[in-house]
Amino acid sequence: MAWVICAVAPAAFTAETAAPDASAAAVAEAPPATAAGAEATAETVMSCMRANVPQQLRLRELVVRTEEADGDVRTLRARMYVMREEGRAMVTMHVESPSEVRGTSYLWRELETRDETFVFIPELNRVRRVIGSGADSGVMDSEFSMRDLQQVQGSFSSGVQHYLGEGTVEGRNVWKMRFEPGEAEPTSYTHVLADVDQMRCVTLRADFVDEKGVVKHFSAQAESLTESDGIAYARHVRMDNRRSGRKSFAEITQLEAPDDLPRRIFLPNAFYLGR
Amino acid sequence: MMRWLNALLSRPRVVIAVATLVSALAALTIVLNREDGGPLLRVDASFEALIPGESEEGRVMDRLEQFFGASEPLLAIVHAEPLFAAETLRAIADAHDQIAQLPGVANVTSLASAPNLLFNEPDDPTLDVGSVTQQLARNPEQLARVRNSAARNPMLAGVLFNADTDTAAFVITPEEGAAEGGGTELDMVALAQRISEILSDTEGLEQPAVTGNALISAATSDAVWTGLIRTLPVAVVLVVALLALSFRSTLVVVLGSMSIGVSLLVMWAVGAVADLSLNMVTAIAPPVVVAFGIMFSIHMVSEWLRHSVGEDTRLARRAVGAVAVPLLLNGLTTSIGLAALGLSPLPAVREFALLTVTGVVSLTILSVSYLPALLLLMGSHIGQQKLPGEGIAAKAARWLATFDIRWRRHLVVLGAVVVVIGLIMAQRVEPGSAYVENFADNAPVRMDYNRINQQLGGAATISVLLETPLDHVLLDPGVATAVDDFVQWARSQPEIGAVASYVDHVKVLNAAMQPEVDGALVYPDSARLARQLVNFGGTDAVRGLIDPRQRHARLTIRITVDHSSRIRDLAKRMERQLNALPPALQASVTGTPVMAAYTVDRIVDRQWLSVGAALVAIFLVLLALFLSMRAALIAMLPNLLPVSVYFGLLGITGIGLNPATSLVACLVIGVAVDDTIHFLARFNAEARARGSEGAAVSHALRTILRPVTLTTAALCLSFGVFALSPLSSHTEFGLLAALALFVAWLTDIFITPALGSMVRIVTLWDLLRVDLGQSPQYTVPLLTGLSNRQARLFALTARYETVPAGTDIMREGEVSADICVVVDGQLEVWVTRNGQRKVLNCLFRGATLGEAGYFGQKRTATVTAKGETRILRFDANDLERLRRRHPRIAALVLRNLNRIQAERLAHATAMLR
Repeated sequence: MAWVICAVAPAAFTAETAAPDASAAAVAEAPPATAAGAEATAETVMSCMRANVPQQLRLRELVVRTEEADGDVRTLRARMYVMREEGRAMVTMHVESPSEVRGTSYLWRELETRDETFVFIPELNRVRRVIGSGADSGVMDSEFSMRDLQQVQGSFSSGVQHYLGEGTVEGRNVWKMRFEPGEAEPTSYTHVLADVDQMRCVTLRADFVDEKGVVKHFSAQAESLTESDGIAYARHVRMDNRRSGRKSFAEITQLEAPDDLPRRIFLPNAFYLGR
Repeated sequence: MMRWLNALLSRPRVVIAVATLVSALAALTIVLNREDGGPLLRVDASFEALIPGESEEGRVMDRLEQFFGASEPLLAIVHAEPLFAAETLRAIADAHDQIAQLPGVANVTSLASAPNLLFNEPDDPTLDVGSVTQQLARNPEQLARVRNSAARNPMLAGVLFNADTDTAAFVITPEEGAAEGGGTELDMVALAQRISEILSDTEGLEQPAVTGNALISAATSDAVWTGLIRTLPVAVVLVVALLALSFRSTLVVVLGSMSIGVSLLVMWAVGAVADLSLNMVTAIAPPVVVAFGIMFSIHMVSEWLRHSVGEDTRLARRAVGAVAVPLLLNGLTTSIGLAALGLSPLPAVREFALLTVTGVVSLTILSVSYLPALLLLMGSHIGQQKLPGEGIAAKAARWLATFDIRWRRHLVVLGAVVVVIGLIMAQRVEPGSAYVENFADNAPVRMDYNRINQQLGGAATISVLLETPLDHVLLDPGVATAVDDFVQWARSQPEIGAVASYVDHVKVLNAAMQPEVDGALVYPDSARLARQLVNFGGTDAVRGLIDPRQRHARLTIRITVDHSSRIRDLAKRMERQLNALPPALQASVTGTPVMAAYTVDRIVDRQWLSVGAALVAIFLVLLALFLSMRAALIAMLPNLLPVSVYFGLLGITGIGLNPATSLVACLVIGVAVDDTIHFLARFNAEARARGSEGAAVSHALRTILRPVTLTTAALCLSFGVFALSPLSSHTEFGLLAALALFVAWLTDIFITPALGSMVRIVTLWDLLRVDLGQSPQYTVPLLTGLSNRQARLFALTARYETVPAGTDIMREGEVSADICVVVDGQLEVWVTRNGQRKVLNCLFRGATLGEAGYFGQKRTATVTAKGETRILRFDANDLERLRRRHPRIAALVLRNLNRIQAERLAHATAMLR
């Protein structure tokens, strides 16, 4: 169930440290994030990936298109705000369309020991704190879930990361990584296999694997890699659920990294007013 | 045709080579047509095999699968007392996790996964969307609250647990396609087995039971296969023993079996090309073809041994010639009966018709070609022994002939009364087929099904598909309330155990967001709120109940009944109730059990059509054969009797007309008429030759009693072994078919002779055999104006005699009413005067003589054959019979007779002058 919210391309959480004004083409030609010729390790790759996450982020328009196994397609539009505070993320999302659900808002907060979610239903004009599910559920009934987006960046709260070697995806050099959650991690996956772009430390491909095999496959369109406010991200990403046959596509437009987002956007008693 | 048979018998090795080649090609076809690595015989006992592909119900079902997927879930239950205890719920959660990890499982829904949204207290700002097990794990002291909230939640109570019986359910959705295809049924059985093991091994959980359409299909496939490998060999062994006992020749048995084997291969190859699989109905085809094969073999071998053929090609031609036409007719009528099943609405029955007609046609051809060729080649090893039982048959035939003729009117009336009673009782025949009750009481699949039915409330699932033309209409409060009214009505029906509806989900969401609102769950009062709730609640929880655009919904209904008639009644009631829904809503009751029930329902209408078509087709064959409407009707009567007894039995016993039992009537019609034809044809020949009906009945019975009894015994044994099948529908089919065939045998030895003795019949092959020489209508004055066919019919109504030279055909002074016509040869007419023989005249082809006797005068002269002479002899009775049966021919013959008389009178007058 979509108790929670927020779909943003994982690349959006990454930031390029160099060449903030480079074009997409320039991004493709930019030097690797790690020192040339240096042997990559799990630590260097993770360090590169984590360093790219901005403290504050605003997506003026996020379009999530979900295609059912039978071909039926639905589209939702939303605005999204992200803030990182002491290493923990807070995400607020306001649904813009369809019109009947406009105003529905979600707040997802990563706490020290658990996550919490708040939902605002405009027709009832009330906020409820939701427990018992949350980050595992698809955002806006899509295949993107908050936890998937965390994990695709190797951001398990605990666990280990393995560097598996190098490879290429769509002609781009990638590091092959294996992210394994810690025992206490509330996830159904045994591990995530990710291909991380060597230039931008952006995950281009990821397989979410459980004991029975690949559950979901994440892919970022390499051609859509772009930059805004010094943040490199892929404008088009998709998530394929191999079990259900559903797939979701996300398109990010107008991504910004503002210096100061109002704090009330992330407060349970005011997050829904931000729209 | 005889030329063909002669040609075949003169080249037995070529015939055998061709048959061997055909067998090899058939075997090759079977191997090439099987799926990669698949079995040579594919078993598909799913419901779908019995359901027409193209029908309104089928289209609704297709749409349901299109919107909500084709995977049919497995339903597992466990008993745990008390159910709402921390340990029990932990055990359920453990079992849930283990089942979810099983390969082939796409999703599991249970108390460990379904959200319990009604857990929160009215003043609690938090909404706990966890499952019952998660809530209890978080709030171990809140057991009563968890239990009460779950009991109030219509998405859980009755659906995932039954508090009255301390039963918890697991709904396991297999991965898409896991239940499709040949080999995966076994996967489903293995999956169910693993689920059962997990549930058994989980401490605190007891008495696991698993059911599901795929499992029942798999069990049915297993039973079909078990039934086939059990019945086919037993049928073969029994019949082979019967053959061996009857002919006391192992070689005869082997040769007979070889032609049956070739027919089975051909049938199997046609099935492979048509991509047919063995299902509950087509699995009956192989033993049926074996039974027919034995019948054909018995007729041929009996005639072969009766003629003591050995290696004599001339005798072989005679033996085959004597039996070929009846055998071809047998094949034709049996095929007609079976082909009439092609009118059935059930694909499986139509497939059965295709297989058995193929088998019977090949058996017919092989019986008059391949089998005689084998017998001829092996003739020196067969011997020429007297057939055992012939003496008993002769004695029995004599007794039967006396009995039948003495009591013929009583027997005919008795037969007519039985037919009428049977037809009256047939009015009570109801369509009816049970899927699970088809298994024995102690079959695991039935026991599990029944336990789930009793403890959870409903083990089979049907659906109501709701369709609207616009997005989100289903969330409109007016529409949703009407749907909810239907759901409440459905829950009150005795056949319904549980209903799951998207309306309940929205009501629960509404209550969860406003816990302070007391009382019963209510639907949101605005469509906008409903959409926001559903958007928040997501579609995962209701993915199988409503589509993301809220245009299509499915009400999932668990039913407690298995019999098609009860499912049909329920579906009809539901359809009437659904008519009360708003016009914007199109609602259809569907689901495999409903489709099967409607299809079985149509069996009755189509059954009469099939039986009617078979009777009409066979009547036309008999009409063409006997060349008389009356004779054809008489020949039909004995065949109506076993069929009416069969339908009467269905009506009396309450056995439903199901896909298997619907085969019996057409099958029996096709078989029963064979024996009637055998008897009437033989009786006709004997009656013509002997001029005595009593003697003709006796001799005809003597000739046919043994083979007809043997074939009936073989057929009854073959069908009787279906009693060994694990499926009750097969048992019913076998016993009913055996009983009907036994009644057909009784009819053919009691009623048919009684009827036959009342009428003399001319058969087509009699007609073909009559040789009246060239252009009889121009060369025989009595036959002037008749066509060749009419002349032959007249000849067959009369007695056709070949008279040796020197035989007196008439004697002067004797009283006799016969008239004779010379067909060929020469007769001398003479009188004795003063002790001297005076020849008056010589008569040749075309001459008519004896008219004086016909008009009551004594013979005025003696007539003697000068050489071998063929004559037609008839009397007033023959002319009267001709008048009744063929009035046009009788009119012409009488006109010609008058003309002959007039000419003769004129000639006599002229001589006197």
